[in-house]
Amino acid sequence: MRSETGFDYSLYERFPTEKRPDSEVEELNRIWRAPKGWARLTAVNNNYVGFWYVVTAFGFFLAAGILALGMRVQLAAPMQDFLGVDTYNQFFTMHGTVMMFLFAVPMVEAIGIMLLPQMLAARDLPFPRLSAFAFWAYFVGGTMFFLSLFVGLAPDGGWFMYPPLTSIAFSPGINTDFWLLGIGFIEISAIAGAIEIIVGVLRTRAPGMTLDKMPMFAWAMLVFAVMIVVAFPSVILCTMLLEIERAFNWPFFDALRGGDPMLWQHLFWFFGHPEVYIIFIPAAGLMSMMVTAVAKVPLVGYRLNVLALVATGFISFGVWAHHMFTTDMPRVSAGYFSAASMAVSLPAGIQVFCWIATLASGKIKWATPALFVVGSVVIFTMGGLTGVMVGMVPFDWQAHDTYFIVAHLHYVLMGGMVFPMFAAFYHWHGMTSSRALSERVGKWVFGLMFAGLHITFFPMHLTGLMGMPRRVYTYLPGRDLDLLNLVSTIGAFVMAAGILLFLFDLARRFRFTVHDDAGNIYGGGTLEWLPTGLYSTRSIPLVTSREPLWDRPQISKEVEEGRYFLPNSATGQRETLITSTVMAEPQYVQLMPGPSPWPLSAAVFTALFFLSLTVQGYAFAVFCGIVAVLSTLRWLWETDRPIKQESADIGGGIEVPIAITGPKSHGWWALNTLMVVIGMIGFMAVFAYLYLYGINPEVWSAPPPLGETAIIVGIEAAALLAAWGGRRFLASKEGRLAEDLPWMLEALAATLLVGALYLDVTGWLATGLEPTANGMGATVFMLSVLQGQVVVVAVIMATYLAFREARGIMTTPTNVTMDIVARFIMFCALQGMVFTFLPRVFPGV
Amino acid sequence: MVSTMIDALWGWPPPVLDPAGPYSGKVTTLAWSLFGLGAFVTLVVVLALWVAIKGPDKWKAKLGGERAIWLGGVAFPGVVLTALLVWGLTLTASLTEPIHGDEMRIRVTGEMWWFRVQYLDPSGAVVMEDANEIHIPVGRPVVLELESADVIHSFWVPHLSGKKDMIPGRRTLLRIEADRPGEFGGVCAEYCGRQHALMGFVAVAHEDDDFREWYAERNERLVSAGRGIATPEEPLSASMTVASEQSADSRPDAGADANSDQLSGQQLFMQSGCGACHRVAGTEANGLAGPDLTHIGSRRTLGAGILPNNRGTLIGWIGDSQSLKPGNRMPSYDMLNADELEAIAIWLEQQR
Amino acid sequence: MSEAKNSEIGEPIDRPSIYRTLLIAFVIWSAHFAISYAGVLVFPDAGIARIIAIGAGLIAIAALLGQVLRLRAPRSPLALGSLGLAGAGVIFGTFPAIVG
Repeated sequence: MRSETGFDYSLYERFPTEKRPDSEVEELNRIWRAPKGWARLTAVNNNYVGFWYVVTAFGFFLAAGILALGMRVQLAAPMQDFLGVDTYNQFFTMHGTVMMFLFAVPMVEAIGIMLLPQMLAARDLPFPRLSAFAFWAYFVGGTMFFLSLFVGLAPDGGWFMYPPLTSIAFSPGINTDFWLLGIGFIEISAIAGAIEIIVGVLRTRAPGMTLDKMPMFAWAMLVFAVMIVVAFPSVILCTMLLEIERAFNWPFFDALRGGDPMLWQHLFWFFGHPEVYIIFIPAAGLMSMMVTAVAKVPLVGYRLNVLALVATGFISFGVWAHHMFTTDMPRVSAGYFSAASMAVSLPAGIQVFCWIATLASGKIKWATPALFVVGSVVIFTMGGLTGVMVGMVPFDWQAHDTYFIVAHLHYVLMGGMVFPMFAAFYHWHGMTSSRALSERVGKWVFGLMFAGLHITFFPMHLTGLMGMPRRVYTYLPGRDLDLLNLVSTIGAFVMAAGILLFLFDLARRFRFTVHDDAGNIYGGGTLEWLPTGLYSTRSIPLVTSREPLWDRPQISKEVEEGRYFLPNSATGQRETLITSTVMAEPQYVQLMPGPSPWPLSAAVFTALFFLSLTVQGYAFAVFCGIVAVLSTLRWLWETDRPIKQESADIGGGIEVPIAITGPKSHGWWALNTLMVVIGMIGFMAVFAYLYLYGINPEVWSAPPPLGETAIIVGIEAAALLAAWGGRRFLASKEGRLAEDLPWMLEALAATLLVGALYLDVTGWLATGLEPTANGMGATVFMLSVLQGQVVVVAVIMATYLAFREARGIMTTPTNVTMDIVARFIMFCALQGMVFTFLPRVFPGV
Repeated sequence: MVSTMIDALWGWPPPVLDPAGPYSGKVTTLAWSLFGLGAFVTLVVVLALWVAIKGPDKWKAKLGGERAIWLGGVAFPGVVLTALLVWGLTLTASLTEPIHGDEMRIRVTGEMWWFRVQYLDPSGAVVMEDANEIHIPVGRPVVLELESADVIHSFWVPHLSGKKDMIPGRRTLLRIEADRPGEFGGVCAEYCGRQHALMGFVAVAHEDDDFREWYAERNERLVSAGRGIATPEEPLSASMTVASEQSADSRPDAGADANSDQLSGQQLFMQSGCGACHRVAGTEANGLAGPDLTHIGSRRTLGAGILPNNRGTLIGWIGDSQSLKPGNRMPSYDMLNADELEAIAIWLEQQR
Repeated sequence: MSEAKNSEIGEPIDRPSIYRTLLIAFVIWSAHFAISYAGVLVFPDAGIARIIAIGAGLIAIAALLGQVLRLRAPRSPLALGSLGLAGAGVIFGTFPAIVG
């Protein structure tokens, strides 16, 4: 076998080693123990954070489901007044928004946080405090957002909030702002989770778990996380644009002033379509694993399935405008999106047949997960087929914005995510509950949900074809819609009954535990079924196949006896093993942080910051923002400390370094991911600029003189050089602690960027351009806003660096903080150069 | 007298599957093929699952290999999707042929929450105004110029064609054509705020002769209101112009002599300020904010397609439109008593 | 070993030639899509957009075939499958410029 890192594979032959002393287990327990009482809220271990995350997401599912029941009661008969028109419009908007933003993505992320480290036999995710932050921001923000319903301030523009309906002229209330700012922190949460998952899947797998042996859920989560990083920036940008338009009158979407309502649609759907695959792909990964366990054979077509996941990930970015077929796009353009929509169903078909082939190869155990799995396949297939139908432009021209689409989307989302989620609950609950749920009740839950789904949503295909549009609070009598709607309502209550039954069983039997779980009820073969404690597995096994527990049944005992990697704590702190990306060769030991109140504080105040902005409590918002930033800095302050111990024995006498910096460090990867996110936001902003120019070139005016442009770009280039120099200079100071020059260079760089931005903005203002004037003004100054945001962060980072140097904790020749600050400021400089250059040179009118 | 109840415009069979024109007919054919395909594939998958679970071992072995995945997941869908894509693309092309320039043109503007209708002559000048109802001749393509006065709406009459969005700042074009006479229901199909649910219209297709007759009747009315000359034979190429405000003395030819009922109805209409939002050709009422009422008496529906048009509903709408369609832009005229409302309604009935 | 139980053929994904091919195939598809779409954004009504798309399609297919040739025999079915799936996507995405 070719080594990726130079690792000597003969070392693997040392495992399993001799049985290790029990005192190591006691020490692990002590190190990983969760705080008691209220302090438990500061826990960062994925066992807790993941569980809270799943419960919260499920809570939002139930809440949004109740909204749906209200909607269905209102629609059970024509011209009813059960929910008034305004209430209904808030209900349907919140149903969609909560399901998509507060349930679906967080749920699959939550399941990832709970299960992935266990599946990879890692002790935790690589940035535990980041996942704690992501959870608390989501919990506080999501709850407060949902509460807007109770004060009649919930958004009512539909979950996709199209302007001009959602512009200030037609939505003067703060309902819309609740959505725009409320979704803000959800986006932060999702991206934080994505960073964790990418680094977790690629760098914390058990030794020997090559890409070819990784659990399919890990592949799915990798694709999921990369998609989030590429797609979410688009919605972050468009929500920023709409909020700025509403608050400051910058006319991005105002056709009368050179803006365009269609800009929103492009930006939103560039996110919105990948979003549904973001939701589906992890569930598909779970399906692959459950199908394997149900059939008791390895997944047939594993590699094809990986191909399918990657293909879906890419192609799903090429279909967004199929939500816009009824606008006036050129038909060639519509054709491209129709073609990609056809193409994207090929990989989905591959996955479905992989599952069927696997079921056919094995002997099925008919327990509740199996029922949900098979039901999912049927429902998802039906939904996918109606998807192909509406991917055809002429048919979509009839079906778009009718109940046919409502039927389609619920079939794919329920078949593609909700049913797999219930299957996963049953399949994996044994890991986290001391008692198993009832099989008998489970079958009833499935039956009611499956029947209820079809009764609710199948008739909607018909009502759509009969002309019933979406998002209507009522309909007129005499259109033959009455009976079909009543049937749908009845079906909704049948489904609700099934879910209620599930809740009842949950209340009766589910008891959260970490140590004493009900176990591997359904006989899975992957590593999450190893015996675990709060420290995850006692030792990290050497992996030689995709279903290690099937192929080596004694592995559970061996792992418990400490006969593999990291059977103890080498440093007395929480640790996990970092392995190489492709072949999972051990590289170094990563120290992990323990419980901390700072992520909790940062999260709560971030959420409060966004929410105060919504209700226009600006002073309080500033206060919360400052506290959030300070909490984050305090949190980071504890990281990147010099460690006395240089290397550790990870078992079998193999020594690896303890934490490293540079391209191999996982902090490096996290920053790279963040820069992709910021870069994508910038990219979409540039698209917005070019797009509006293409639509309304007549509002474009002359840019500032080229000489001025050259000066500003020059200043930014100098900043780039200074930032690079800071790190380079640090690198040459071997053996001693860093002195002032590195941080001063970074501070210089940040200052230069501030100056460049100031000159850029004043230069544009001097040409007479105003951000409120027209589409050009709005997009040009938006680039300055984005640059301003990163420059502010750069200034904070440079200041932070100065403090660290003053405290004497900047190690040489490299340290993670320096790496990150320098590279981030270099990124800011590069972004600044592009943002300065582009609008001044193109179109160069 | 209004003859048709709205019910006949909708209902079973589903309008998407009951085409009344070439632009919808071809799509219906596609739709049926897609449904057939969908049913077939669902059946195949269900059967495959059944075999995988309970089938004979030989069949299970065939299904259990990578070959089945290639065949079922790639080869078969690949072929079918290619065929569908080519069909869809060519059909789209045939439904979006370039506009010739000699088709009848109607401009429809989406408002919150009704449709402003303006019939245009070949030069694009407005020759007649209406609301929430369009009349077209059978057998001839009609080009709709779709615009929006406020937010994004969408124009959809499923019997005749797919929908097209009405986007502020743009003009989108939609072709419709009826191949049989009839009345076809339409709705707004893009969420446009509070009363999106109650924003509809009617499309009426007339045989050619009937259409000319209808148009001529309307024309006469406009001519006698001083709005220009047109010959019934060539209504669309006539040099009609929209005349400016008429003198206060001219009256619409209502077929009856000026009697106290009529006058008081019109007077009440003016005194109540209705003319500030509504226009009635030949009177002082010249408001542009609300639907044109020149031909309201002959419209099939009221309130944007939601009520049949008769004296009772007219009274009900004027007196209390806010209960029928809460939040709509017309206030309820509940300060008028029953007689006053009836008088106005009678007068409006005569504006045909 | 579970691999023996599987009738899985070809090389594991962790071989660079395999995972790189998988990624490159879809980067090629993405580039074709982006160029075609950019073409119609910049030239909405002109036939030049179609020419750009068809040209990009031909180049993309050539690039994919080039990748096929770069694979050493026996060619991994997964690598071929990736290139084939991406190729199908490119061909689908070129139809609108020809037929639509």
